[in-house]
Amino acid sequence: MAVEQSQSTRPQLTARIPEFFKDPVTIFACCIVFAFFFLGFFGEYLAPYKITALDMTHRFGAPSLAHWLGTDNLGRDTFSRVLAGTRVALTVSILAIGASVSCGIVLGLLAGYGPRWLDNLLMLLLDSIYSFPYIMLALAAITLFGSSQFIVVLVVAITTMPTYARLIRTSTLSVRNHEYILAARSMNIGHLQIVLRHILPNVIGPVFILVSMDIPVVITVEAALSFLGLGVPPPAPSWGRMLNDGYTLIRQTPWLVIAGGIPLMLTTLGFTLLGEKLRDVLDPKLQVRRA
Amino acid sequence: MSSKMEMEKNAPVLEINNLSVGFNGARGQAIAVKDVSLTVPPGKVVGIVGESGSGKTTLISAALGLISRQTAEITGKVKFEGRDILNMSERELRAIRGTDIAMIFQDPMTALNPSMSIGTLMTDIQYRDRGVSMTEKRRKAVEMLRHVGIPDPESRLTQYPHEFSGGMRQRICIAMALLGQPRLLIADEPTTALDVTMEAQIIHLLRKLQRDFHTSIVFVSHNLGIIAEICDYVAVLYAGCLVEQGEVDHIFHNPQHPYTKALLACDPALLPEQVTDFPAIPGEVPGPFDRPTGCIFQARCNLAADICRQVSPPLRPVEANHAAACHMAKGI
Amino acid sequence: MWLYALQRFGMALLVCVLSVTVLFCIAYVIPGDPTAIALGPRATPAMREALRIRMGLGEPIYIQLYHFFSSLLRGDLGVDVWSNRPVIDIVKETLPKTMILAVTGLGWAAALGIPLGCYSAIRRNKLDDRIIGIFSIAMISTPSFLTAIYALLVFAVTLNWLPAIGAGEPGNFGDQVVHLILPAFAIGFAWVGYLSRLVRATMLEVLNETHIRFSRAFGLPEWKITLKYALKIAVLPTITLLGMAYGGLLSSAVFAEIIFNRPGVGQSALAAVNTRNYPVMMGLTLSTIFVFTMCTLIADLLVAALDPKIRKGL
Repeated sequence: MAVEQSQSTRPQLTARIPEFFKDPVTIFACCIVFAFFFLGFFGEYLAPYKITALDMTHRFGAPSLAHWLGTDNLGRDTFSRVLAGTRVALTVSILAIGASVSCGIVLGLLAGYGPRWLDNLLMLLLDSIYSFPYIMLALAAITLFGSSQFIVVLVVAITTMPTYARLIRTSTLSVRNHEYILAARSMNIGHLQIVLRHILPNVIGPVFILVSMDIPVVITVEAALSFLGLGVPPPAPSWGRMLNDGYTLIRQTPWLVIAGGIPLMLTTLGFTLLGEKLRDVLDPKLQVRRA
Repeated sequence: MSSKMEMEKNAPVLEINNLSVGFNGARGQAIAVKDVSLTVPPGKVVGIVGESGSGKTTLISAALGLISRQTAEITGKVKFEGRDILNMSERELRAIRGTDIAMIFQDPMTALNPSMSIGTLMTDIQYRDRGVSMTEKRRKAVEMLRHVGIPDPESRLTQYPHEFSGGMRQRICIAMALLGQPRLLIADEPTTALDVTMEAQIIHLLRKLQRDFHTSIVFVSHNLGIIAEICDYVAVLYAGCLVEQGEVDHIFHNPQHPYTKALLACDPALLPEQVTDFPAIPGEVPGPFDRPTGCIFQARCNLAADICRQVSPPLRPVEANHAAACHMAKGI
Repeated sequence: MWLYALQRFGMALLVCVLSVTVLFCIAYVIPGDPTAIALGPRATPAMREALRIRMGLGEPIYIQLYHFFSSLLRGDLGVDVWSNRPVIDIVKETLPKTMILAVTGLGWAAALGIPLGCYSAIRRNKLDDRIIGIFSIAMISTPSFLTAIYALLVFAVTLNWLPAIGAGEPGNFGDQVVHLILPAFAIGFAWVGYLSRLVRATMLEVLNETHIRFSRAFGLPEWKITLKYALKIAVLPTITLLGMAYGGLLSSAVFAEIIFNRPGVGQSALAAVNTRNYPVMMGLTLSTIFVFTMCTLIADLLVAALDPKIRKGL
């Protein structure tokens, strides 16, 4: 059954790849996503200035040839900081998404494959988390533990986890009564084996679409917390922190909020567009709940 | 004058001439209906029979102007009481629907809007009668519900579709369709989703209503038994082509096209009780992209000769009120 | 219907109790001196001792939990560590302000987003639908605090059309409305796109259903089919979503309050974080949980009232 399925979808997929890249919007999205990963790894080395290089003679410098996006209140080059800020965004999103996907998959499989009462309980819990304002959770956590990259990752992982768990649960519920699962059960194969070998490979596909749509959410939350001064601590050049610097000086240096905001918006747009396209191509029926 | 009246009385309600429907897709044109001509005389029941995917639904949808010209290429002519349907504007089409032509669908479970009561649904479709009061509209609805055999219709008007069984819902659909007193009723597999006893009741009801209201019916089905029971004329579709048509008795007792013969041979209702080998037609229906030249049925036909592979057989009369599209059929 | 309402109500209560218990456990059972965490590092030993006695520490955890819940039922959320004001007063003062902001933001988003979604669905794949689609995605992609900052930059700082900070003079209704415009705009911005995409998707799904084809077969006018027959069904998931939207909405409201310097939950919470004022933070968090549960409950009941299957069935 599983083999049959993959065989029937594979030629369709390869046939759709050229169609996928014909759309200019998709190419645009792919470029942004690629640039994001590239700058995340190499941005720091490409930056024209050192990100911590203070230049007190050029404070509040307007954009010029030497400083493409101007300088901030400490005379640091904004363009270099924007490039280097990609690293922070990338690190947080990889860690947070990694944690949330793995937790989500485990909980989703438990809810979908486990007994009914566990399903109900987990769903109740996940729904509460899902709808809880992430900002209050973040603020409460920071009040208790102080701010650090770990707390940011933790808060983001907890708030995005329910979507993955829900997705996995729904597909698991529909797969668990398929005949090949029943056949495996009748051959006395252990539950763990069934879940890992037979269910997981069949339910994991849509997760990738969701990851693409969730990366911007993570980046936004990180930026938002850093904006409040509660995210990744300085001197790491987070976009959110730049926004905060810019916001407090919005009348003197408006280019700071623009420089901090544009990469944030572009990244979000790129991943969202890519996610939508992926969904259209791979799984048109998937309705992703997202706030 | 009287002769003209006489002529109009016998003029066909629906006349389809050389209708072809092709859908333009990425892989080229998919031909769903090819060169179909069909006539529905007034007050008669015409059955369209064919396997699933043979183009039955596409045929009637195109004939009623329900397929948008943007998505499909439609050639040929469709005339409803002499008026050309295919060239009508959306506005003119809407004016015909519900009053002159009504439709009922395959699955009564999904055909009624779940968010509205039966009463609202039935009074809403009388929106054309502007001067008529709400009480009068409700009275008409009740009367029609009683006609189709819904017990205690007054109190059921306030109920919602989910409170009715499948058979009851199909009765409601029929009642709604007949409210506008249409001269043509299109029934697209109206009993396929129902169980056998319900099916018999609905067929019986349609037959009775057809007599009471003198409505012409186009009855689409893949079930030969039902077609035999309710229809006056039958048209057999295969892969979008009309292969045989004629009076119901002729078709059932003297089938001329090998496909019709095979179809009759496969009907479980007509088989002897104990069969070990269930008859089937060998081969597959040609896809909409790879249609052969010559006869559409050649690949599965055991009579196929050279001519069948070269020339597409026209529909030829084989006896009075009976025509078949086969080179091997004996003409008159 | 009543049974369903009761069931949903019980569920809401359960969510409340569960979240509060979890919060309580995190806050009071973590290792270390709970009073130090509750009061923050700047607390004096005398303050800690006072709190230790008041909190009844040393008693077993379930007794503590019992005390916590019983004082919660009496409306006692503790006092502000620094000013000794009852936390319940702070909540009463800030929560309505934030709610007004959130409701206004969501209100204009719904008023614009839902019709846009319907329009898009009717005109699907035409040029205007594509344009609306691109704009919607762009709107969804803009984080609300960024919208707030840019709105502030453009309309308040550069153009000087609208006031930049504050909530307006108390008692001066016109002034308050003027101060509400930019924050509400920032909160609703992403929701316009989100709602229009959602409504478009559900509308398209509904418009494909058989009963819509059936209604068309009666020649009912297309506007009536769309607005009466399809929207009535398509609006149900939208309402459920709006009920769940409260979480995201409150987050944006918090940012809007901070950026536009408006009094409300956001300002108080941020101040509480920065001063490590734990009881205030706890009180605000609890009240948001409560409001959220109420919102989902109301949305569920509204859907039930609109959906005859639930209204008449159960």
